[in-house]
Amino acid sequence: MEEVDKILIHALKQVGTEVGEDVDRLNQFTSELIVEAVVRCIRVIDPALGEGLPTSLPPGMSARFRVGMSLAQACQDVGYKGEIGYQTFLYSNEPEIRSLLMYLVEKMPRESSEASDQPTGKSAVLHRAIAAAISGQLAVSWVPLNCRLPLHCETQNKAASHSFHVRPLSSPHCTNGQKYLKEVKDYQRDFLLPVTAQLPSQTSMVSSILEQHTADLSTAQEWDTEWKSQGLLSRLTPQEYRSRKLTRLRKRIEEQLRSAAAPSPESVFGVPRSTSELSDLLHTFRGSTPSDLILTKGSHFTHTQKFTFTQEAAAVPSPVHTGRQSEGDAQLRQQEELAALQQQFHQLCSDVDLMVADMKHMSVTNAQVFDELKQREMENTKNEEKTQVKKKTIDLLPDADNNLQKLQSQVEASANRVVNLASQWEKHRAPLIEEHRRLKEICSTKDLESSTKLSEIKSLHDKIRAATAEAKKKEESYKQLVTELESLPQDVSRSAYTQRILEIVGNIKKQKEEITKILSDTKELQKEINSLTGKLDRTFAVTDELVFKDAKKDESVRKSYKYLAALHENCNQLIQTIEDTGTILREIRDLEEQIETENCNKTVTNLERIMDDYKAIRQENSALAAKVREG
Amino acid sequence: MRFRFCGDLDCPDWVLAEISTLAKISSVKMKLLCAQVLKDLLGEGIDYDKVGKLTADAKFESGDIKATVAVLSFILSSAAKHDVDSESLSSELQQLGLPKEHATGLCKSYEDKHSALQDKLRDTSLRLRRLDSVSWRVDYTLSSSELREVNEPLVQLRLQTQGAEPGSSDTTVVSVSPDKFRVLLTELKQAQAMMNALQ
Amino acid sequence: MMEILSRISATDCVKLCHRVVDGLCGREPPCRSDYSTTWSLEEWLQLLDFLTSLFRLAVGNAIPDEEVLAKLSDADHSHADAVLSVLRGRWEEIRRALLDRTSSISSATLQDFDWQLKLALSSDKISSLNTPLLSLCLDVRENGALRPITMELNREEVSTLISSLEAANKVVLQLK
Repeated sequence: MEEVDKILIHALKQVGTEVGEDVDRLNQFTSELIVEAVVRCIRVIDPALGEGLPTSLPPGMSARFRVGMSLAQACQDVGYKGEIGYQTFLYSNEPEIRSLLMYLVEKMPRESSEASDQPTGKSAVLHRAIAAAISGQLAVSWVPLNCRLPLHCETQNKAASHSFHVRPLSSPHCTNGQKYLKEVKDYQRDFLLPVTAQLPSQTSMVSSILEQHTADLSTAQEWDTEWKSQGLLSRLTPQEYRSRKLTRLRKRIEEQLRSAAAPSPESVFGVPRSTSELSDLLHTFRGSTPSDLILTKGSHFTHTQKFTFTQEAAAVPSPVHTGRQSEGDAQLRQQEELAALQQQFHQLCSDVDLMVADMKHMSVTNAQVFDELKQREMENTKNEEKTQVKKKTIDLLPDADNNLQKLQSQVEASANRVVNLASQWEKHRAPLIEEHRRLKEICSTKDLESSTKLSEIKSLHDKIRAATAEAKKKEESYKQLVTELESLPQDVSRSAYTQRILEIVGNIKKQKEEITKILSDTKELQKEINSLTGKLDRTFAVTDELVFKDAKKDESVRKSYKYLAALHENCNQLIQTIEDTGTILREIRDLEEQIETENCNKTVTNLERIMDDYKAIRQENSALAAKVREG
Repeated sequence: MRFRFCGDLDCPDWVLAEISTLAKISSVKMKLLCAQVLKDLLGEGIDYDKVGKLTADAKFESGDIKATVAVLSFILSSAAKHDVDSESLSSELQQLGLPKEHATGLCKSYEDKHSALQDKLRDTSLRLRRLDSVSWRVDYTLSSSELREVNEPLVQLRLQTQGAEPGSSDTTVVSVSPDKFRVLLTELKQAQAMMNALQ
Repeated sequence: MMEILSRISATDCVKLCHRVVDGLCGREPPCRSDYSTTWSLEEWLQLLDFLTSLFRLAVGNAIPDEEVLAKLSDADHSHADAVLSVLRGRWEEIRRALLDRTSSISSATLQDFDWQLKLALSSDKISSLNTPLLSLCLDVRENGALRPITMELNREEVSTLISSLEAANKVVLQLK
């Protein structure tokens, strides 16, 4: 019964009855609570019927009686078939109230169960939302253009949708490490309008801000990934990394341009122009990156090429310019001029060719001559040294012995000095080598450390990325689960209920088995009884016949026959009596049960109470009558 | 009466009338006819000579032949449109008076081609403009009349789109500044993520 | 040209120059009615033209400050300084505007784009379609006129578009 009560209380709570926390059984219900619960149930089942019913009991007895009567009537109107009167509510009796409440709760419409039947999941939720939105929009009636409220704008007003249009905005960017010019600061402080005021139209302002933010964000993200994948490994600061990338890129482009320009003046028209542009370009490169060593370190060939190109750059613009000036003139003249110009170009090209060849030749011969000169000079110095040594030996020849000794002593001294120096050198060398080794070791350990740190950083970055991704995923699934939970019915102990129901079903099955067992037992007994009576009858008939035959002959046998008949009759009577007692016993038990239930219903006390109520009402009536009389 | 294969609506009268025509040919012939109609619906073309031969022994007029093909293609396409399973289609056709063998034969061929038919219908559903191909090129601008030193990449995109009716393709060549390009790519990625979340 | 500029004070001159740069960068240019008492229409147009071309030239060709001052030599010192300070303060912005102009030299440029994600629920061909479609709208500026290009992409088309754009982006990244 406790489970049933719990379910009932839960259902009543859902309807809006304020059942206290400590109340978990129906016999704890006060009559006030019962009235409230019943009224709320009726209001849910039939709002029109429940409209006129108060949820609380009034103080006066007659009023209470009236409320009880109307409640009982309402319950009967709803379709309750059980016995019901005003006393059911006022003097509650557990089984009656339980059966009434159960009936009412079952009668309640089940809109919540409908919702819980629908499938859950993201797409299902979305589809339901779409269906709800469409039906909502269909429910809104069409109204003329002039009467539209904001409510209609969404579906019926086409002008509400603006096209996405972006215009440039100016906003101070906070980049650390980069010093602002004073003028920039002044501008931002004194003249720069807030972004919301920079554009005339509100919609393009919103879209501009959105786009700028996306652009900034994606730039930052891209830089981040690039820095983490490549920049970190290069062990440079971000600025250094950027500038190195830029120089590498410039070098690459330059090389490609040069290789494209190298198969030179074959074509007549295109080449001079492109080469002039190239030289211009190379100039800009040189100007923009003074630290750029590629050009200054360039080969001999690039130098010559550069020279020729710059020469031409100076030569070319003027004819082009004049050509442009005469653009509006007659075509003939233009063509003439064009031809002249082309000729000039030809001339210049061939000139350039010749000059380049000349230059090459010259430079080659120059280098050769230079080499020769060097060789000669080296030979000269060698020869000079030789002659000097020879000269000295010739000088020393006259005083040979003396000089020899001197020389030997000198040799010895110098040998000593060498040894001395060597020992000194050793002395200095050892610690230096030691230090060198030490530094090398430190260097390698630092290298190792830094690489391990780098790999650590990398793995950390990876971990961060993975963690953020996971967090995002979890958040999303959390959101989905929350929506699903919201869409689920509020029956918390649904599974408990089903389990309980299963248990009850199991119990009932067991009981049924027992009942069938007992039934089969009784059936068997009945069968036995039947067979026994049959046997008895048959044996009686046989004995009767036998004895009857003999009775005709023998007096004593006749007597025994009489006894037999009497015995049989008596036995039959005995059985009859036993059966009668059985039925009476059963009746007694039934009656006892009835008495029990009647006792449970507290009919006597209820009657007494009703009598009391009657008296109270009479008293009230007489008091009212007295008042009326007085009034 | 409402029928699921008609989208929970009443069956059109002409279909009702032609079902009796359908009952005149043998169920085997009708199954072969179904195969031809299914081919037509799947865009592989119908062989009218074969259709003529199949209906020859029932002594069909050309009007009857047309009606048969029309009713079969209506039943098959509309069942696929409303995603009716073959069993309920069979029972509904029998309610409409088609003999049992005919209904089972029709439903057998319908069941075999059910998903292919639905895919085809899905593909041929209205689409405003679809993208055929994308090609790109990245330029590096060195200098321009506006600015002597530009040194910025510039993306050229060529998008080939196809209109609702076949053959109405259109090519757009557009150059996109690197910032815009990055924003476009980021936004498209977001859109893709949302798209993938839809299923 | 600069003597007509000196009809307004140096601070007003700074304000005017900032508005001129605003106009150059695609925002609101200065309003003629604010200065109608100071300059005639012809002078006004000449002045605007002069200032705009000065800013464009200075940033476009990276002219050093001395040369700019040389061009402003016929104005008095405070006005020339005012123009120069505006030029310095807005250098980056002008450069960005010129970059935009450079990329819009092409015959067709992408001005704006917008997208919508739609879920097609049903069609005349099939009752439950349930296909997400991305409708992408590109506003292309072609010969000065905006031409909208719309397309509807399904899942596969979006992924091919993204993968080819991704490949292009890789190249762009190398060039930065």
